[in-house]
Amino acid sequence: MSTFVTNATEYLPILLHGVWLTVLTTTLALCLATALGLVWAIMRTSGIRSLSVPARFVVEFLRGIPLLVVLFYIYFVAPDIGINLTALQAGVLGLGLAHSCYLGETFRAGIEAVDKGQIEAAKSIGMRRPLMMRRVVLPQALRIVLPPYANNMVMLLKDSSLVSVISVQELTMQGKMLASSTFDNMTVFTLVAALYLCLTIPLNFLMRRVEIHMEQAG
Amino acid sequence: MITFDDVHKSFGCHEVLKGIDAEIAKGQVVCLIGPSGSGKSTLLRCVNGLEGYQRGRISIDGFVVDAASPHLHAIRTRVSMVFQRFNLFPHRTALENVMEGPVYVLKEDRHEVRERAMALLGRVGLAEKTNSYPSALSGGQQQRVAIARALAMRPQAILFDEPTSALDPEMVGEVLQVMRVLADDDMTMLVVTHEIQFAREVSDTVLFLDGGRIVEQGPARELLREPKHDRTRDFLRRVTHPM
Ligand SMILES: Nc1ncnc2c1ncn2[C@@H]1O[C@H](COP(=O)(O)OP(=O)(O)OP(=O)(O)O)[C@@H](O)[C@H]1O
Ligand SMILES: [Mg+2]
Repeated sequence: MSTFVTNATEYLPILLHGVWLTVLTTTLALCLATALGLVWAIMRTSGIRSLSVPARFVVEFLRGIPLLVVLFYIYFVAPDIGINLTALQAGVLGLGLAHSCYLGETFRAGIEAVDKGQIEAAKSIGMRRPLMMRRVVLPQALRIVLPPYANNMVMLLKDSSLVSVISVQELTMQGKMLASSTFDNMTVFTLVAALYLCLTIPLNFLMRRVEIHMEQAG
Repeated sequence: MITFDDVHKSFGCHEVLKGIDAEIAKGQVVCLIGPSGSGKSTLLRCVNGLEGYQRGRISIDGFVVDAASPHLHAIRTRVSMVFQRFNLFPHRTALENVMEGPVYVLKEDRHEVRERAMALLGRVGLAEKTNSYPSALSGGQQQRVAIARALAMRPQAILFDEPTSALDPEMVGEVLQVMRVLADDDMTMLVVTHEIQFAREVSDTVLFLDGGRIVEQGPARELLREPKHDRTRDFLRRVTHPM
């Protein structure tokens, strides 16, 4: 046990560097996925075929490809057509794109769950669609969407471990390198798992607090 | 100011309005009565373009209402609507609900609108509730906020679709009272209602709709006391003496 503690204190600073990259990758990918997901959802619920059909196509297309393949494609194939990305950029792009589909579907369900009477009320005071989305539909969809969104966030954080395959030195990658240089698999991977939990559990907790807060706001 | 000229409307192959002709003058209160499924809500919703229609013409002050028209939004700012189920914005307070249209659609000055919205809420008896969310209000209070929201647009006419049908009986009176005051102030109103008593006291004209047609129309007192058509008579007997 005492050797575990001594070793752990020695490994922790190295792994914390990985935690930082995991957080960075996740945050950036989440921003991208949220923005794109919102775009897909708004296109799909627009009722305009020339918007909803392409959005649906993109979502179905991306959803059908494993995340690992998306990552390889962006990192290894993109340079062949003249797009050079750093590993981090490719990782964020791949994760963000893949998760934009899940978020897009989540947002769409939220938008469609808003009471039709709300839309009629908005129309009846002369709101045009963009204003109605911004002032009436999206704020209400947000409440509906928050719990599944929190789930998606945790999944994205866990999926960020996959960007290790394109050499982003995030937590999983750091763990693997550390384990192969020290042969101390037990300590290293226990620490890695614990560090992931340190990220995901507070995230769940935080989202629950936000939900409760929003419920109280009426 | 609102003119219906041979209006036809179908949902798919089901014809719901079969040629409606009517005229509502400025300042008039017109009640629309008729059995369930006769097309009352549909007719009302055609007036502000929530539903389109296939044939004929509805015009408001000479502007044709047409679901495809670019003027539709402008028309909606001039004809407000009050719904059976209130449809207040649940994430905004009573005051914010009333301010929403003037501030964000009409782009009026927020401070001015605020004053006006406060006054309107006072007028419908809710001065104390300006900062309450709809979920904290009774049905009757919510409907009165909805009426204030409609008034805040300074409309030329207000459409009411069974404004008291979703209310507990003890709250019907307070909403009808607010509508009575509006009628006295010469607001143009088109009201779908089952409140025959209200129709008799407040409205100038009653339209009896059945099977997508106006079976009978005329001054409220006459039509309600001595209906000329059997169908009107049957309907009135059923609503005034439910068994
Ligand atoms: N969106 C719709 N799609 C298809 N049919 C509809 C739709 N809305 C209404 N209808 C049909 O149109 C007819 C008239 O409906 P409407 O709601 O106008 O009746 P109403 O007179 O308001 O009845 P109620 O007193 O029950 O409210 C009904 O037969 C109804 O089933
Ligand atoms: Mg109806």
